[in-house]
Amino acid sequence: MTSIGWSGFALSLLLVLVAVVVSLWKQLGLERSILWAAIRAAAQLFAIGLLLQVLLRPGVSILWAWLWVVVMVVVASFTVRQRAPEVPGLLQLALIAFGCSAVLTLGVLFGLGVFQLNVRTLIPLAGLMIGNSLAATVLVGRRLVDELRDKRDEVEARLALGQPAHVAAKPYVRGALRTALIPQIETTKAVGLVVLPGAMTGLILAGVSPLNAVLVQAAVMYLVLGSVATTTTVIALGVQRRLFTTDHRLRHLTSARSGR
Amino acid sequence: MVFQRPTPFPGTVRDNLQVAEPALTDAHAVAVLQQVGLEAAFLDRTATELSGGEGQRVCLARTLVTEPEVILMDEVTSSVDPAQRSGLEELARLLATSGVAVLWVTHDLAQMRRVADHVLVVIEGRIAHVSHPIDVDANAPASVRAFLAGEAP
Repeated sequence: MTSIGWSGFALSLLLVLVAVVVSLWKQLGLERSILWAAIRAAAQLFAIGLLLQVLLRPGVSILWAWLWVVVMVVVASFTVRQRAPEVPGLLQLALIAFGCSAVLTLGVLFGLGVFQLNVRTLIPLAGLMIGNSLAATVLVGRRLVDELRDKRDEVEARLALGQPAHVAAKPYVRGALRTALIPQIETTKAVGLVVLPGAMTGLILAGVSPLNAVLVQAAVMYLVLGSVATTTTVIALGVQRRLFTTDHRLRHLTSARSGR
Repeated sequence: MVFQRPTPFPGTVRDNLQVAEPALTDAHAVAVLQQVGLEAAFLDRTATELSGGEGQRVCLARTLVTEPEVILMDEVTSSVDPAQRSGLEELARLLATSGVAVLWVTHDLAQMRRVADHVLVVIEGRIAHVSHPIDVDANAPASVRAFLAGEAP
């Protein structure tokens, strides 16, 4: 088992110093940002670590871990809303999206016994699932709004041909979903080729055999793929419904700069 | 409806017509193109590469595929040159005489006189006056006459 201790952590701060030195040398003006980021990262990690330590004590109910998952879903939803303020109703949609994805993906993993359900597996897997789906979830919402705003003429022309809203929106929904899914597909394709991904790295560092480690990593890649597919679909369908009125007209769309 | 600027969908002219009717046969497509004065060869042209006038004709053809009772043409000649403008005006006249009602929106009084059978003057979103194109001013209230003369309301 790999353990670096407090001295190891302190020495690793030298690496932060490398970034600071580069910033000073090239006059980037980022030294304060870098130091602040390092401090925040350490503080946040310590807090999470302490909390996990408490939850992993024997006899602690798994319900606390589920509560943590719910908190992660809520925080992720607020983050998505913050990154895409021009997308209407995104907070509720993100809550539903992550919720559905959690039920579906974790349901498969734990329900079929791929992993044993306990605090040690639930929190990291839920965290991986939510964390790796964030970018795609934001992307699909922004992309769909952008497409419908930029191609408004085309959308109006389709509606004028008598198409109902969901038919008129179909090409743009399809485009947004593809844009959001393709990066994750590419990531899955390339996994292990250049960079060793996080889950198996962590397991190997902890002394797990590489074969077992890569099996877990594969499961994690599929977990994220399934999760991204679910969250982006929920967001895309939800946003499409919100952007058209009940009588099949396209609502006025603000631009990213002007916010909601 | 046909808009101020052509709104072609990506793909060929045939693809555009098929958005209106996915089961459209080539024969039907050619007939509709003929109705708007385009040759059959246009079917394989890329819709976004057409000129303004051709683009508007494709948009009109696309609308005609749905066999509409009324066609709304919203200032369709504003972005085309004068030669194509008269072509589109003739097209509208042809459609009207063949029994398809055309609602033509314009701010050009001369065009109105060339094209219209009936005139509705719309001021600030309300129909202010209904008349024959030749003597729009006759029997019109003062506000309408002022509007048509270009005076501020």
